[in-house]
Amino acid sequence: MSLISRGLEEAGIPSVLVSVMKPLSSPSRPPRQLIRKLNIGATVGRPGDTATQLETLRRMVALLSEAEAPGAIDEGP
Amino acid sequence: MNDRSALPAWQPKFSDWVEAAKPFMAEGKAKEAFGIYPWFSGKGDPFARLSKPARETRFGLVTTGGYSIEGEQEPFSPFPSFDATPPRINTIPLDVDRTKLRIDHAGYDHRFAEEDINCNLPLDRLQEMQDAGEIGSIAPDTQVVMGLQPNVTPLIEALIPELVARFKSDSVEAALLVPS
Repeated sequence: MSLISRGLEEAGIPSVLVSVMKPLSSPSRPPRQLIRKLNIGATVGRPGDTATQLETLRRMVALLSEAEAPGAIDEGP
Repeated sequence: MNDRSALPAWQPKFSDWVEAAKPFMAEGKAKEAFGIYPWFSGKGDPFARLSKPARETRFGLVTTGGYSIEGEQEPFSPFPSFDATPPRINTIPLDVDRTKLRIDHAGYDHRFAEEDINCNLPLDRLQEMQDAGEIGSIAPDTQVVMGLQPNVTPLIEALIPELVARFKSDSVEAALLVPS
């Protein structure tokens, strides 16, 4: 997914990746990633946890808007 | 400089790895095999800025959740492919009949997504953000690709250009990427 992110940026489409496995998503240097302490398969949030799901998506959108340079990471709680 | 130009230097390392990984894979030792995987390192650090506020931007979603529509699309192979076949992209419309969605992916526990699709295909949440005016709009189609593609050559040469073409055709201005 990190390479897809880079490819989209090369084509002029800004992108952001949510990752629950930073060691796997980082070696390919994605332009922007939000690191979450969530399960594989529930990367946005657990079933029925609307608040967490929305928080993940809102933080992704915020990172898209606010990142100033490639390699931007939001590792907040 | 782009990732495509870094492929010729990486391909021999990948070929060596395939040979070295075969004995591990034959014994089901994927962890050992990927422990010696030659990570692809692209050239440069591409970066495109969002040119307008999120509330005016059209977003596109990519997921690696292994989704297909039963009876309409070919299911994904649940295991990684090592060959050079261009990886397929399935398209899931926003108004898909959710009873027809199926998941084929060996890399994650499907129970979360089977209970609530928004765990890795957050269509309801994005629709709510659109309705609330937090984002401009969400593209009518989600692009589904298979994750963990050890051979990045067909990914870079075929899949990514196809994704870009689909997003441009849908007037997508920013992409949200959700792996599984």
